[in-house]
Amino acid sequence: MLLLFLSSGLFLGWSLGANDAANIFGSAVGTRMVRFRTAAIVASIFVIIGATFQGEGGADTLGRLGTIDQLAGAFTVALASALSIFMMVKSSLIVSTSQAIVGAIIGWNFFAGRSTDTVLLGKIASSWVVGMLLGAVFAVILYLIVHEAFKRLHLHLLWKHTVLKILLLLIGAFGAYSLGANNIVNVMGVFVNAVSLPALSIGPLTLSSSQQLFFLGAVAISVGIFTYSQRTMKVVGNDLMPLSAETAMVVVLAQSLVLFIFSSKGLSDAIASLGLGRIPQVPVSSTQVVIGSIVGIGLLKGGRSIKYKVLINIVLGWIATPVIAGITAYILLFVMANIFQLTVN
Amino acid sequence: MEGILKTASSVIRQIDSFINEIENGLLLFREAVNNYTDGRESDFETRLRLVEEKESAADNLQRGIENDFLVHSLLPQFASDVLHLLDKTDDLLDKAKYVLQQFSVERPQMPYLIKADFKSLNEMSSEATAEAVAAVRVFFTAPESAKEHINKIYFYERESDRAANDLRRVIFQQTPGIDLAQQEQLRYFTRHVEQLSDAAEDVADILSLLIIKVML
Repeated sequence: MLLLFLSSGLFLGWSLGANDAANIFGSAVGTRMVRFRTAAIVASIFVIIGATFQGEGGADTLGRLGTIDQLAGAFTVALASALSIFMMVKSSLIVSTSQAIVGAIIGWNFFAGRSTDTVLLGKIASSWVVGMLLGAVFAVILYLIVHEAFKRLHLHLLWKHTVLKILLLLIGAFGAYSLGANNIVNVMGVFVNAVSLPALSIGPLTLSSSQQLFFLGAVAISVGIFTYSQRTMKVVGNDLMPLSAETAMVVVLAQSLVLFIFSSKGLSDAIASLGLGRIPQVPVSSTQVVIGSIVGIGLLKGGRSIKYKVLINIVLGWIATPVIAGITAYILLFVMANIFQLTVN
Repeated sequence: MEGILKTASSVIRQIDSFINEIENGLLLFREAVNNYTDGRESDFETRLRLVEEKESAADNLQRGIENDFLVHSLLPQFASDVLHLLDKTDDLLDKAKYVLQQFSVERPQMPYLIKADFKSLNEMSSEATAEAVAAVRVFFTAPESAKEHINKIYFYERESDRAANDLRRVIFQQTPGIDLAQQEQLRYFTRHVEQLSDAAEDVADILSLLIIKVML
């Protein structure tokens, strides 16, 4: 029964693996610098590690936005999020799982008659914008450093290729870790308050209830990576982002850093100890951060190749995704509560 | 990881050896043509044999490089262009060997009046090929720097055309005492030597595009 209720979250995990792994290894696989099998294995391992051991920060934030304490409610919210993503993809809008889940939680708040913390909501929404901007800034700085370093090193073309191949794998591993750490909350976050599992000890490791849920979600992400991401990786590598290996590496590193910043409790604590305030631990959209990074490099190169229509689509998505997810969640919760007689709040 | 590094190191060594063979072969070609023009047939034949050896060694290295590129998916974005570049570089020595073999087979008579012009043509054409080899060598470590050599290739190719036309003019208009058959034969050899600079120009054309791709 528990697995049945978790299925909507696991489906979200599968779609995240199928789509967002391409942001990390798309260019490397599309340009044949890294084999798909190698990319899939590395991505799966590090997504699971990141999700299980660093995924809890974002869960706290989403938990404070809406404390969904009933399993059927959590199932419905995750289902609403998945359905709205499906509808948005059909409408060719750039969609973010993070924005969908936030919208669906607000929908649950409305249905349950709970108030929404607008300050927290503002923080989450601003992190989406800041995430994209940070992606652009990091990408520009990293691009300048990497470009200059390669220029000065005068590496043989084949050495450069070999170094890039190794770096793409290492940075991809970091990217997968950050993706797992930051985005697992989109997949399993809504179940954290509704499911209580006994602590599980495996050797020296003890996994809490939420860590076990995140592990399950991360396995679903891995299944998504292995079963469906090859196609999206090839599309990203060849059509959407025809980047050189050097630029692709910079984009992935910038994206990984942004996702890491918004999911690392240690980093947030360190910055807070300096009196600089806390970094909110929120799930940000990896796709949008990648687009921010590419736009940053595009602007650095003169801005001629930037497709402004894509940017307008993103801004539309910022508004449309949470609204659609919220409405869908409200309708589905109504159906679950009144037709299926399930306790959703 | 170690395997990737070893492969890169091995292919780089093969490319360097390949370029060395081509370069040495073309230097021998320049000397061999001068030897023939000066009537030093024994030196000419010795150098022809050496050019044949270099050409064979370059071919073997090229096959090895092609094999490694495909088996290890090296430079996947540029592999076909780089292999095409190496193929065109190899053509330089193939053509040089062919020209020397034709000299050896046909033994054209060199009237005293055209010797200086023939050597001048040989110099221009050989300079174009030397710059082509230098451009290919530097392309692998500093693609932007190859542009300087490309500019020189085009310069020597034009000079080569001019020298060939001057030579043909001398052959047909200013050299008394040779019959039409000999004039035709000398024109044929003028064209052969001139074609080496055209082959160098082909290398320059491929490199120009490849530099843009690599620098993007």
